[in-house]
Amino acid sequence: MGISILPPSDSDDDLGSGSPGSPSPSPHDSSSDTSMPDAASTSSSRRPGAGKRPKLSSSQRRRNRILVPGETITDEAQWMRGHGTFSAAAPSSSHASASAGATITATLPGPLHTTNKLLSITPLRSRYHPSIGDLVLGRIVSVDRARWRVDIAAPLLAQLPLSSINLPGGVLRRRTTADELQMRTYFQEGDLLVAEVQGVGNSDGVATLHTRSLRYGKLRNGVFVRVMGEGRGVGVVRGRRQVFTVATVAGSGSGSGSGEVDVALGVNGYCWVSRHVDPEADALEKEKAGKAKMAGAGSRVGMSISNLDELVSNEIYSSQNDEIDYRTRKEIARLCTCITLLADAALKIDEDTVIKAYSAAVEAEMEMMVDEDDEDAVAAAAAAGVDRKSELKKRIVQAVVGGG
Amino acid sequence: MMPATSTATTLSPAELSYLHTSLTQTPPLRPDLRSSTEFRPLRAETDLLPTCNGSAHVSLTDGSEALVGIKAEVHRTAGANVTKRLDEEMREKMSLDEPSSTISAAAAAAGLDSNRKPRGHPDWISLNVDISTLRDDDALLIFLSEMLREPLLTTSTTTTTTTTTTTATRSSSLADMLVINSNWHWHLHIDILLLSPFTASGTSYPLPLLSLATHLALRSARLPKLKSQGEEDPLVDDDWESSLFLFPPPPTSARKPESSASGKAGPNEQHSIPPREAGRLLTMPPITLLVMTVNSNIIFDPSHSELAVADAVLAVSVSFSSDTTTHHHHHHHAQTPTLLAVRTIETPARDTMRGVPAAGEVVEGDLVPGVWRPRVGGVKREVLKRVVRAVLGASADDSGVAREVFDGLEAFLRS
Amino acid sequence: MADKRRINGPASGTAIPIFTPSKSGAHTLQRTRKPNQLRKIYLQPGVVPTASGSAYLELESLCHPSSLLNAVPSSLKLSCVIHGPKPLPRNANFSSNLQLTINVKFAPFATRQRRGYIRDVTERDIGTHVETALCGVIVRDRWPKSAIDIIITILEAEDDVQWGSGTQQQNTVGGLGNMNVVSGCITVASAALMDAKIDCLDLITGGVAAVVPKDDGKFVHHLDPSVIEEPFLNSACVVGYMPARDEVTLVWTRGNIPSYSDGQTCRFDSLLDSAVNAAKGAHVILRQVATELAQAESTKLIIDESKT
Repeated sequence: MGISILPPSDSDDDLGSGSPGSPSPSPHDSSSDTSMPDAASTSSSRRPGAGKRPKLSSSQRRRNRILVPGETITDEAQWMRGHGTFSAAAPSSSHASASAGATITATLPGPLHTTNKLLSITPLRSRYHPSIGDLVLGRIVSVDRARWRVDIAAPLLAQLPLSSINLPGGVLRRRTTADELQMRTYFQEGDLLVAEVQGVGNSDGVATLHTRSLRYGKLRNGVFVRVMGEGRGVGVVRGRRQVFTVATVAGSGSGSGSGEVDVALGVNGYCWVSRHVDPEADALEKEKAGKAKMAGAGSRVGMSISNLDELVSNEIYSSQNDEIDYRTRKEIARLCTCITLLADAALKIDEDTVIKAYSAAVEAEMEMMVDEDDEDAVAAAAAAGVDRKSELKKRIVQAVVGGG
Repeated sequence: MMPATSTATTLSPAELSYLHTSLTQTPPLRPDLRSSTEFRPLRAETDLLPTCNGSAHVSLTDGSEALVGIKAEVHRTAGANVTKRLDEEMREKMSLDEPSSTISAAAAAAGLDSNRKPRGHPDWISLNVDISTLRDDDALLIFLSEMLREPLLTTSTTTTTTTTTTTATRSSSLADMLVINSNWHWHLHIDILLLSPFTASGTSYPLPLLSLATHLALRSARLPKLKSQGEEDPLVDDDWESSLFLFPPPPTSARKPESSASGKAGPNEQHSIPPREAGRLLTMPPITLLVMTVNSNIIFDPSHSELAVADAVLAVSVSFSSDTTTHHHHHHHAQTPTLLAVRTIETPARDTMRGVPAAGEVVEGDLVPGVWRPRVGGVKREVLKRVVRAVLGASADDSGVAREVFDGLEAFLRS
Repeated sequence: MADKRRINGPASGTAIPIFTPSKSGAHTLQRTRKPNQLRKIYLQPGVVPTASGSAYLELESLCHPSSLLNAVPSSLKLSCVIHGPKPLPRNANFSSNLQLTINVKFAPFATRQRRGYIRDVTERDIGTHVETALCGVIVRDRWPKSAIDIIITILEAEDDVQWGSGTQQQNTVGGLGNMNVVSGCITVASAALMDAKIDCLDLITGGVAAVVPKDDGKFVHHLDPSVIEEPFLNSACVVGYMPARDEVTLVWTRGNIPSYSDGQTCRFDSLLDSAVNAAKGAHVILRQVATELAQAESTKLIIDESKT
């Protein structure tokens, strides 16, 4: 297909409609923080004569204004400062007002958010900061004594203690020194896993992870995609369903294999696209093939604490991939491209947008497919369609923004 | 507890095994669904540095960027007096009806070519690669600069038939084009900067990017026109519009806004430095391609994750030369690709960890499908030969990948 | 590569001395060997008893017939020493494979022009080539958390430039001297690895082949070419070859290789095969040396056992 060398482009993205990532009212806000505009307005209107100092008001205009570092937000005493702000203590004055508040100024560029009495600024795109309950994907960086250090695209490496993973032999099994020496048999350097943030250290901000559920653990049978940055309305959005299954084109018409693809979106921007694993169907297949049975798979009724130890076997820590057919692999690659293009176009990435982007991509390919025997058409397509990636990007953006 | 520089880019054995299996399919299934000879699109720009004789800026979609600047300085040729004296002595010694081969051998011994013009010296071209994250004496950096420099110094030899039906071997190289006269020459400084950060396990291997940028910079490089003649001390024309291209520009290049503003007709005015002999060789600077093999599949322009599972990685330098007869001046058609250099590069798939199988320990030699094993051994000769054939084209009619790349560059330069 | 640690004199200072060609006749040697005949190889493992493994390689010396000052005999003398496997330092990252460190150094007296002590570009380049060749042949995952040091010292090598012929070799491919060094380094390192009892897939050897134009316009392939014998080269190739697996771990070619053969011009395929043949020739010697070494050790063992 050759090489395409283009002159430098002027702008970053040429999108059809509007500017992405601009804070739009309620739908975004409701998904993450709750904002109480009314409380703010009643409080500020109680103080007449506050002068020309820009005050916090409930108007749309105020809330959506982009602040830059150094701009004063308010000097009223009632406000607490959150992320992205700085509170400078006011010099002690001779006035008796004990409630002389500290001046709160912005330290990051971005729109202001008020959550009850908390003022914070979340920039449009920033590094991931872990918070409790986040579903993240991480890569093991080093194996220390009794814990692993995991890279989750945060400023500091997270830790995964040995006591926080499922060990074969039962959930209540004691962690022995033998386990400490055998840590590499569970997770090695470079392994990819999905985990939940159990806590964030107060003093240093180091996240602690756990994989204490069969939903979490080592990842296999798929491809890793990295999406940069996290911010409001951009990147992977918290709170929406992050692990879902896409029924792909590969499923239609093929007898074996369902062609379903699992997508796991970590809030930290790490994503995993893999073949869907249906435990029961897999177990049956394995029995048919005469391979070793998974413990207790034949009579699986559901996961519960009582039979967790049967289900946890050595297999969950294996890095052996199953056989995946060509068509499913193609669909996995296509989904990865969709996610990357969504990130490039600065759109948010969640289940809806990914599925919309995927269907747009499939349609685009159907239209651009040419009859292989027709040489002229092939040549014309090669000559004209070398830049199909940007074409695909435009269509995905249209589909997502237009439909959503 | 800060993340180390090499995190976030080593892949797990499961990913490596998945990628490797995908690439061994026929046709190979690449993670971004490219075909095996498809290159990632690049953005390029030439002639952007005002203080350089030639410059180019190239960037890829994965964020890597390179900038190349070419500056030429006039230097005195060392040993010029000796060369001249030698030549005179040799000519005195020999009678004039000696067969031409002896004369040319003698001339060669005196450091001149068969036309008695002084030859170039490879020391006149210095190439320097600068990558901000690596030390100056880092082995990778030195390897890269040697790989980029070697093909530039190659002397191409061709046999042309003159009208008197004697075959004469003529050869020329880039260095020969830098000769002013026997005492003076141009010294070419090629400075290559990799602007994007490069960690050993981070972005993809920068070789093809740097090579394309160097090629474009050389194509756009111009040397000022000489006003002095013969053996005088060199004096050049201040008018940049009359400067000559180092390599012949593509036929329809009317890009320069200044030339149109000053009223000159575009393409025909800007000639290249006139060829030393009529049989012009190496009409274009070289291009180095990165190729990898997986089992028996050959994949061009591999991305970082594809390189991580390669069985073998090769750097192939190609250029185009033309065979012409002495009376011809057109050398745009009938260009044959020539291989200038092939180098194997260490594949990162050797220093990886083994995968863990689902059932117990794996006995060495037992290949469990789906479990990753680090690569051992080399590459079969047949595969190597197929790689070269894919690059150059299997026969005179078949256009290899090199031809496609050159056509793409030509199309870019023409626009 | 500028030496940044010392204060050097100005880069452009004196003019370099130029040797004039001799007036008394031809100063280049003609190749007397057959095109597919290699120079005699002397290879001895175990020369340094304190190291884990060592080997010494020497190639037959070719002398100029004349007694000129600048007539340098051409030879190759290499010594390889292996230390290890030894544990990685404590603060190094975990690695489940053996880490190789290859150090190639020219002795200052190795070439006609004295080389300094700082490792320069050529040495690092040669080192990278040798590393590429050896990484493929050692079974690295048998030695986790370990490292070995392979130190190759070049005691005598051929220059790239043939002295006395004016400024430089004309009509030829530079760098043949370096290619011969790379090929020798691969062979000597292979012998040293065997001496150090490190698991290798095969006995890897290096081989060089060059394409030389003949007077009638045809080309012939010369195996194991020497710089002083080959004034005119079209292209050259060095390979690191494993005969048992028939695989190549290193390929390095230089020069102009046209794409398709019309009977007159050379091609990559045939050049590669010639270099492999040169490597096969060296392999015969290496195999002999290996067998002798093993036999010597087993007889020593028998003697020791019979004493007790």
